[in-house]
Amino acid sequence: MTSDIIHTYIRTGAAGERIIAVTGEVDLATAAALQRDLDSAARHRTRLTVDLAACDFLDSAGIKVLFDIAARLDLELIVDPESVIATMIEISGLGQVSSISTPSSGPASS
Amino acid sequence: MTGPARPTFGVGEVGRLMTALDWDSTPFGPPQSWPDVLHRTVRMMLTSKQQMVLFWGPQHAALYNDVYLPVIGANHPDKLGRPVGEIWGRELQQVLLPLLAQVVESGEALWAHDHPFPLDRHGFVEETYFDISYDPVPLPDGRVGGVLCLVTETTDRVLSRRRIRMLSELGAATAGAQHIDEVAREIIGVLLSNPDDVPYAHVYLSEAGALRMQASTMGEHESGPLVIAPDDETPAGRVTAEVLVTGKPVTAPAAAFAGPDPMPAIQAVLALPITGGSGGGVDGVLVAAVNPRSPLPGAYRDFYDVLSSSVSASVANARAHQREHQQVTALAELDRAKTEFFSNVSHEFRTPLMLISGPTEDALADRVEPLPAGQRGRLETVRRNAGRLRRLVDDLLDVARLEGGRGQADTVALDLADLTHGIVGSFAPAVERAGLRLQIDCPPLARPVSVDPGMWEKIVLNLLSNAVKYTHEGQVTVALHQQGDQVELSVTDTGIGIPAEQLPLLFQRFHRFRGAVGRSHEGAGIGLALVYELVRLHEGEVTANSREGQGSTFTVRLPWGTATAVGAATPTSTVSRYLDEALGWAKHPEVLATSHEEYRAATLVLVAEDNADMRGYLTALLEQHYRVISAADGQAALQAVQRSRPDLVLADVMMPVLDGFGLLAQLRGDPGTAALPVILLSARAGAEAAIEGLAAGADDYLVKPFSAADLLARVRSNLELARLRTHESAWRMALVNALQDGFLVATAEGTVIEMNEVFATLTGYGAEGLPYPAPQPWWPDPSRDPDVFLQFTVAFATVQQRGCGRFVLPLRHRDGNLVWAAIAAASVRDRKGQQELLVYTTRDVTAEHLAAQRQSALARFTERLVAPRGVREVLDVGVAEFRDQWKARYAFAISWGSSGLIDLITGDTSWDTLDPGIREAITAACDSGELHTSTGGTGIAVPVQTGVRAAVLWLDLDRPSLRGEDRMLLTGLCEQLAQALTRARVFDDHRAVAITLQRAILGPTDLPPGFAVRYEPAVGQLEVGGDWYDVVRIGPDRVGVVVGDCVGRGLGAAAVMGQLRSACRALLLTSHNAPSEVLAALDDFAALIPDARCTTLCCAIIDLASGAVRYSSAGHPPGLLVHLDGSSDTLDAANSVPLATVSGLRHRPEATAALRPGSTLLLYTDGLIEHRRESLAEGMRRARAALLDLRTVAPEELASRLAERLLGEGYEDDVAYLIYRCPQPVPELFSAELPADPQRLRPLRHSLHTWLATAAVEQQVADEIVLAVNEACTNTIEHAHRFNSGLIATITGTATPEAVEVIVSDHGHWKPPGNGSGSRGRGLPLMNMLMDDVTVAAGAAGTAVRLWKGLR
Repeated sequence: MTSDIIHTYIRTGAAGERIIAVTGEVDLATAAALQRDLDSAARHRTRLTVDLAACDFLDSAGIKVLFDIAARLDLELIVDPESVIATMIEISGLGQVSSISTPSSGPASS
Repeated sequence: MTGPARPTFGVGEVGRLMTALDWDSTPFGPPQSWPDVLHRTVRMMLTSKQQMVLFWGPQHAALYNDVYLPVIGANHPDKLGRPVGEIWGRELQQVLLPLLAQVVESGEALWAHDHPFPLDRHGFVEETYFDISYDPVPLPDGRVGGVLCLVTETTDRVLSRRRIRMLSELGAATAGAQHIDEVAREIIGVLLSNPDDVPYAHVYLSEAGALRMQASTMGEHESGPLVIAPDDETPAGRVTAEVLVTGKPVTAPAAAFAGPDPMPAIQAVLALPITGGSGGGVDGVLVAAVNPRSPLPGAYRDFYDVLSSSVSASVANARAHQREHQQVTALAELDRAKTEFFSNVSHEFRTPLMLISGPTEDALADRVEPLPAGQRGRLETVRRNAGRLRRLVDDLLDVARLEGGRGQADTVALDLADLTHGIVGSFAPAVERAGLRLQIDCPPLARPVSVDPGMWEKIVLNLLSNAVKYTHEGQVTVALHQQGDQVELSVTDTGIGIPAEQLPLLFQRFHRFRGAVGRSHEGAGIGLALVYELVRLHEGEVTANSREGQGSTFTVRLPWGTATAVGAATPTSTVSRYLDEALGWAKHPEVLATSHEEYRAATLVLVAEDNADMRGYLTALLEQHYRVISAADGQAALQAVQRSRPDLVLADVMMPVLDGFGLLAQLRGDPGTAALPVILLSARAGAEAAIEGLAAGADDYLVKPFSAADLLARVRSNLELARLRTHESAWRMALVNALQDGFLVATAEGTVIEMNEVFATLTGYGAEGLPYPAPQPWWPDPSRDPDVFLQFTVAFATVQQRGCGRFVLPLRHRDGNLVWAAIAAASVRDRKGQQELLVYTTRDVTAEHLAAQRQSALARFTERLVAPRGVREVLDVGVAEFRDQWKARYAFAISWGSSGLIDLITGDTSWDTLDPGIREAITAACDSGELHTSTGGTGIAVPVQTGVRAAVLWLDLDRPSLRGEDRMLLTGLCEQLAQALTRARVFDDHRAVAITLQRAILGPTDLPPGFAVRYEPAVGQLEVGGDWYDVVRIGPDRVGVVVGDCVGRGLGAAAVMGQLRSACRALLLTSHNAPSEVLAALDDFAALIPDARCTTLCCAIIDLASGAVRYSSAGHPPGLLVHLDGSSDTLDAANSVPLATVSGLRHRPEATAALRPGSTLLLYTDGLIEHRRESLAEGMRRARAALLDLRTVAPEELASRLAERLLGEGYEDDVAYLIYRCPQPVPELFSAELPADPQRLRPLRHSLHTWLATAAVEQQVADEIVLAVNEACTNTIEHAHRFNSGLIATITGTATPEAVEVIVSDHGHWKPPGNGSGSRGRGLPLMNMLMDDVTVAAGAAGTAVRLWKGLR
């Protein structure tokens, strides 16, 4: 197994905002990579959208990375509400420091 | 009037009446106003062939269909449409109204089986029963408008079942009874159990011309006449007279047989004939009350007829048995009287014989007045014949005793060859005198033989004297050899032989063979009978072999025996009596005169005289008549007395050292010489000297000088006096010893100072041990037999106080056995009148005592064997009885079945683990029908029955040899046990046949996994029933199950059951998944079969994969379903009417129940939940509770334990039931090792996913579980990887359909939340939120995190 098991893609949203999409599984082994990618994407910005709809797994190591980002700027998360990641975000309290939207409907107010 | 047309109600009788009915006057109101549901219900009802009645509205107004008319009876047609209160009386309303109210209030259907209704349909209240199904008819607004009742009258079934049960109980109860009054008691006992059919009954039996009430179900004060004379003119007399004359039942008013306190409700009685007499005539009358609630004509009357013939059969049996018993008793009594007569007569002979032989002996021995030769010869003849007579009398007594069962061989182990040699040797003179050669061939034997020496002597001597008597020339040979496991004595002669036709009679008492030319015509013919009895007592046999004119051989074969006591092998005085007699057969008997010389030699006189001349003179004078010794002084004389025991002492008064008076004082002071006659000689004359000498105790006194004649006369008369004295005491002693009873003399303190031989024999303690101070050694041992010891001390104290008494007490024989004695005590004064003495006579009553004990043991055993019915029960009772009777350490019984294999061993014994010696003994007993001792001597095998179906008891005993008395008891008990066993085998066979038949008809033995089935026939019934079950594989995943109950029992019901079962099976295989369709099709089928109507059954199809149970019930009690978590369901959502009760019923209800893993399904017939005095609801509650308790027990065991819990003893109906246990999936297990490498988390998660998918855990739940495990592992790695790069944690998981459990164990310490590493401490709260239970167990070796999530 290589450590290179997550990928991030940056795209521009409908309102011109920057969206960084995460694929793969975020855990203790890959959290550092996610941290690195998000840090670089968030540089000089006040808000960032992280699309987790294609992310297969996210544990507390990934949550910690997202908490760090949310502490610095407005974080918006795109999450499949049926997925275990949505559950994770909700029970970890991350949902309270970020805004959540579903993949098709756009950002929901937080 | 406008509005809808008046409806019509079809063309049936009720329909036409309803069309014409004035509805406005009924609570129904005009049909136009009826709700739809009422119309529909009425239409359905009127077209149905099922008996139905509809109760409508608050007053329960009734409408019914045509088939219901028999139920409504005379109330039709007036009461059509009327409220319940107007149709039936109060008694029925009390039953019916609560049922209707229950349905209306609960809105739920009510179902009951054989429900009792006191119905007044024909002008009287009748006892009726119905299967009922009361269904609510709901109105559109949800309220219950009425109750539709589907009923099936089961009165006939209920009553006939009850009556048949009573009749079969009657047969069983009276089967073992042997006396008339016992039979009558049993009959009444059974009748009492069924007061519904027999409110009361009296049994009258003929006795001495009159009818006497033998038993009654009523108390004496309230029953009818106790005795009815033949010419009795009362109503009872006339009725019974008619029955006796015609032999036909007569109905009579109840008043004829009622006492002062009659039952007012009973109007009539039936007087039924009892035909138990030997001539087949009427022997009695059974008077039975008629239940006014049952119509007498028909089944009830038939029942009474069968009852009367059943009672007749029992009475006839008992009468026959009693006659037989009386005959046997009379014969036994006759035999006993005969034996007693012989015994008494013989006893009476002995005393006069004693008084003949005693004086004769004296006359022959008299030297003073010696008999002239001629008289002597005559008296010799008298003496010899008196001796012979005495021997005959003794033999007679022996035979009488032996035949009375009172003889007992007192065996000791001894050298039999030596003893036999001695006996034959002593008899040799007689053989020689007869001119015959005697050959003795008695080589030493390998080991001692157990015999009673006295008896053996009689055996040998009788055979020997017999041989001599019938042999004129040639020789007599006596041989003793070992022959296999026996010792064989043969006595062969070359005599006249015995005709072949006489041989079989040889050993009979008093048989003498005719035409025999013996040496003597003497003999009563009892010698050989005595030999036969004596040999039998030794468990041996005697046979005779003979050729006429050539000689005879008598052969005695004895077992070696097992006596432990050792005895001496010396012939006794008996030999001389036989010898004497045989010598008398010589042609020229010698006169056995005792010479004068002998007498002279027999009398010894001591002369004590210091003067040598005087001494010489006296010696010379006396020597002409006596043997004389002399002494020179008193001291020397004393020593001579001690040494030589003279018959008389002649002493001078004046002697040196010790004078005459001193010598006299010494002699008188010694008890051994106190009675020795002493004559003193003195030179001192005068009366004073004589008085002085006599006062000192001298017997006589002579003053010198004296004449020779005077001296000799004094010596002679003193010797004579002394001898008379001795004679007197010897005579007394002889008399005492001749007593048949034991005899004891004791001092007032209780010390025994004298006893006779009989007592010595009785107790084993002889006169040589006298005196015996109290308590004597024959007292019972207080530690071993405290009760009898107490009896003994009480008796002893009584005698001490009152000086007399009579008791029956056990004495302890020297060998430790108890012997029972009848003891009489009386007090007397001794001869001198100084001392109070107690005289005891004791008679050995051991035999009588044991015989009485035996009788009571037999009686008790008979009683105990009445109740048990099967082979096992009978053997259990038998084993217990034998064990207690012989105080066996343990006991068991083995029974062989008809296949010749062991089919039963009681207790926890198994054949294979038995000691080989015991097995051998049991096999030998079984083959030979004889008792067998095991080689180790640890017990005996007792054959109870032999042949193919043998039975053997094993008793483990300390002393396996049984004495005669024990053996008789054993034989008696065995016979009884064998009889009971035969009965039990018949019972078991019948029952086995019934069960086999039923099971053969019943369903498959090859069941799919998880199923268990049972069929239990009703207890005590030997018939097959109508209950069945079936299990049908429909496809790979589906199994059809059926439990049903046909009406009735017997082969008819079994045949119906078989057809329904096959049809149902076929239907299940074709209509794959709809039990309701199966039942609907079965309705059509059942309608074609007579007697299939009203069958109830439950049909279900179980989907093994999903656990869904689709079911439909045709009037059958609902199935039960219990789940592992303790919850339960009742399969009552698809109940409908029994089969073929409603025509055109196309749709039957169907419902589904869900099995869960581990759930248990129970389908059953009503016998499982039906109990006397208990409602069905209570029965179901008990079944459910039992099922819940046993819900984890494997199905087969569950089936057995359910029967124990629910059926108990004596269930009345047959029962079929079926159990299915839904499988519990095997848990899916997971196991992985985790290194301290975060990279390995992802593959771990993937394998967790794979595992959870295999365990069919939902995706979303699986995600949460994986996330939680991931958190736990992450925590471990974070903590550990700084130190360790190897394996740091073990992950194990268990997944069942109920829950998933994962345990992550590591070797470090769990990181507490929120401590140190920021948000990573969220791990534990996250896990808590994701899982249902998280526990962290930290120990010295590491930490284990248990994650648990429920899946339901």
